[in-house]
Amino acid sequence: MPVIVQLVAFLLACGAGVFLVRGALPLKQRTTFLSLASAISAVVIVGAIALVGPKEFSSSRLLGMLAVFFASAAVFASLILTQRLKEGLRGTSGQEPT
Amino acid sequence: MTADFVPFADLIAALCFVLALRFKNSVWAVAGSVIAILTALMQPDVFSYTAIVVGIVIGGAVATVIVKRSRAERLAQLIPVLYGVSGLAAFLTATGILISTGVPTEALAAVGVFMCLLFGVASALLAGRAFFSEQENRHPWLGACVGLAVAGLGFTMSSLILIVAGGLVCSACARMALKSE
Repeated sequence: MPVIVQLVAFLLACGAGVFLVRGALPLKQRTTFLSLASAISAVVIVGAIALVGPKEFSSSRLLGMLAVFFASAAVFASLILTQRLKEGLRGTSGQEPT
Repeated sequence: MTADFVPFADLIAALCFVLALRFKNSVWAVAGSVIAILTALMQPDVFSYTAIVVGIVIGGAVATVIVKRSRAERLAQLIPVLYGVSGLAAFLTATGILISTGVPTEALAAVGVFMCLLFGVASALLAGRAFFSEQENRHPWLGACVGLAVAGLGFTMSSLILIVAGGLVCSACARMALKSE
């Protein structure tokens, strides 16, 4: 992939992130947002899978397997955590979080 | 299987992530993660499915047990741990790439590998500090750190989904940190 495409994609993503966060959120909703963002950053599992991919045994594959383990733990944990936090939010405030 | 569909699938996954942050809905995040993982598994140079699936299943099981068992009032404390774990995974992957292929020759890829190493370590350290300090203000900066590490890994592997996810998390968390100070 050309370098310019990668840089443009990064800048566009940064712009989208800035655009998505407008105004300060209350603490509870900020916690939900952060746990969702952690689920998104756990997509680093893609890189780990690409590292484990080849068949031959090597120390880098071992590191990749460890990375797959950590990253998948982060994916599952943050998705379940988001769900539990949203349930807690609903229970305390009595209304749907927006 | 050709690799032509990869940028397209990456774009859809990235769109899912943007929608997840926009509507604060984890269903979109699940969809994006599933698309990204399936795309990674369908790459032509990925063979060892057993090792990958075993890693995913064990990691998922450990995470599920830990999150389900922790008490409701301590849930917010888990967030810095999750960021630290993601940063650690990024650091391990970058180290693996350095061991297997050496420093990349392309300028952007080389910068990316060092970005990933630096911010991966920084996020692990910040995560440890945030976990013990019980001060919630540090979490957004931690997220920005992990986002930069993920984006660096994306530059190294020239993977669109990693670059977009990293940039998104980095800027959203940095903006949130600035807003809440």
